[in-house]
Amino acid sequence: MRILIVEDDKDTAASLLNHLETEGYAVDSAFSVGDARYLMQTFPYELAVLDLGLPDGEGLLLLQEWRHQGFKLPVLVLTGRDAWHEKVDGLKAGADDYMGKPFHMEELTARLQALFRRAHGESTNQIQRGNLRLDEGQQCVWEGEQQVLLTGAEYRLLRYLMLHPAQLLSRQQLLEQLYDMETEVASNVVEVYIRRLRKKMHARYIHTRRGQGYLFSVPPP
Amino acid sequence: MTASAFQPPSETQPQASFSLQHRLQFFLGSALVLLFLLQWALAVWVMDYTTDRYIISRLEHDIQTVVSALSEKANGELILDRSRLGILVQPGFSGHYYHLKIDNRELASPVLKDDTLRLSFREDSKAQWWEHFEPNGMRLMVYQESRQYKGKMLHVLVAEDIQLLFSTMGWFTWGYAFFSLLLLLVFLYLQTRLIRQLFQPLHQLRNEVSALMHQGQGSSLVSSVPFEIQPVVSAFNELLEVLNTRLLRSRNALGDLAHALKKPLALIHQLQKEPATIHSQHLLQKQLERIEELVNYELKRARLAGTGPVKEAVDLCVELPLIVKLLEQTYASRNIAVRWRLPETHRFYGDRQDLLELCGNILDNAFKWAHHSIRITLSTDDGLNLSIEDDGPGCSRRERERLLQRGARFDQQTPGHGLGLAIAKEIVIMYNGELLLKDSALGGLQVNIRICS
Repeated sequence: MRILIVEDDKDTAASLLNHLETEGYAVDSAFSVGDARYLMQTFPYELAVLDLGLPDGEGLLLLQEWRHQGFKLPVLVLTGRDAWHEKVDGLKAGADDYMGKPFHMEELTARLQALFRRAHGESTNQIQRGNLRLDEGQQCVWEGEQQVLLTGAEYRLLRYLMLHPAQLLSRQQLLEQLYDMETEVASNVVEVYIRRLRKKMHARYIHTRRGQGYLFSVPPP
Repeated sequence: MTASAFQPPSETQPQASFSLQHRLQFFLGSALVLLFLLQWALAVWVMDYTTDRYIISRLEHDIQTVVSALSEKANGELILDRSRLGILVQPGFSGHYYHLKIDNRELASPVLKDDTLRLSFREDSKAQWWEHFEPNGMRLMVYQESRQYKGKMLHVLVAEDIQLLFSTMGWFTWGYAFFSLLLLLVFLYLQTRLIRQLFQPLHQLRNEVSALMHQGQGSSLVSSVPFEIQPVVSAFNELLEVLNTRLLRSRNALGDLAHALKKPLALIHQLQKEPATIHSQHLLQKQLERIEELVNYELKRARLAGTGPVKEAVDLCVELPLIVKLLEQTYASRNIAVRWRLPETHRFYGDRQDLLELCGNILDNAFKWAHHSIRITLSTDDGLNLSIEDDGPGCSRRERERLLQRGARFDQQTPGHGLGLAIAKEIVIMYNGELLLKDSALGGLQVNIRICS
């Protein structure tokens, strides 16, 4: 899951980045409207966190521009402007959620997770596929009553697959969602993690389509 | 928002492009002059025309006299009975003359016979009249006619001296012009005076505004003005009052903040000197939270616009669902069900920021305290009539009374519950509205707001 943070305050951006990375997201940050515009055109982000007062322009205008260009990803506006009319105007401009500063990291994470779930059509607070239930708090997965412990990378990969069930996902697509710009990765890393995930779970959820990519689907009981 | 009101007048102030008073004077004066000229010319023309007609009718009568004095002898010859001609046959310049031609015979007044007057027939038409001027300055009106009479051709010419008449008329014309001019000047003077008098309140108003703005005299415009500019003066006064209220409010907010910050700051200083314990850490944390709340509250309060002459239409049926959507996301873990009773559309005229702040704060409060459900009822009445209920723990009667006490400052109020309701109360008071706290049928607090439009 790849997130774009648009925030001009470097300290806030750094602490956001750290926190979201420990939560298992691939995160890039932009400090200006120009950067953000470039990154959004270049990488397939699943979500954006947007500050409003940026040095070279208005965040709300950037948001409207994205919506106009057809970017449908969930956007959470994170700003010091917390008057109610500003919040309502934020939603009208196309934001999916609005949080005032100062904020608690835990609350932000919870709202980002909610946005992800909602974007993938989940109405409950959990991601459940067949017998498989993702535990976002402990970053693990439950197969029936049995807990399956996962490493950070495994968790990220499985979460992305579970949020995109029955969709053919190429190796490149998965790579882009797992790692941000800063990380150097070996070319076979996706294959390695897919193999490990299959070993850890009893049923076969992840299927390989040779030459095309991978597919997550729930086996019939 | 408030700060922008205190900027010095910018260079782009509209410049006066003309003076209403001078224009009015110029156009009305010109119209008056034109009117007098026209009536003078018309009067002179009418007089001339009537006199001409009158003289011609007299000359026609003279011709009739001459013709009726003719009689036929036995041999068919026409003779003229002079005794019936009266003044026409008097010797010398009697003022009335005649000339008669029957075939080749000519009969005429004495002065015409001896050629003292060189009057002669004109050949070019049957009957005509003209003015004749003698070299000695004598002015005559001449009338000639040719007609068949008892088988013979008659040519008759009569003339009348009109010099005296026309010189009298000349005098009259100039006299009339003189009096017209005099009257015109009197009217112009009166008109100018009247206009100046009518514009007097405007000049007075201008001086008053200037005294108010540059010398700081008085607090509003008081001079009586005509009906037409009364709305402008009222609007000016209203704006002035809004400006003063906002200035007062932001000053009060700053004063209140400074006052309210003193206590927690003093405590923090005190705590800092003591050795750190878990208890002192806890106290420090509490004081910091208190300061944060105070700053938030006063900043929000300073941002409120209040009633002003400039209002916009706010449709709460559009805005309320967005506020609720945001709150549902904020309190997502609580799964609170919101029930609505909204009209199709709702227009309220006021400051949108104030109104959203009002609704947002009360709804936020409701979400904060509700267990499972919230009910929002917006009535279709004129103005704003909104009720927000929750099924939370509610408020005791004493707490409610304290929350609504007029003039009670936030720092004296219940923390937690306070901030949202305190802001809401400020806004409702600014709009001369009513905020009621009741026990809801849902079990919690019910907040009723009523603001007349």
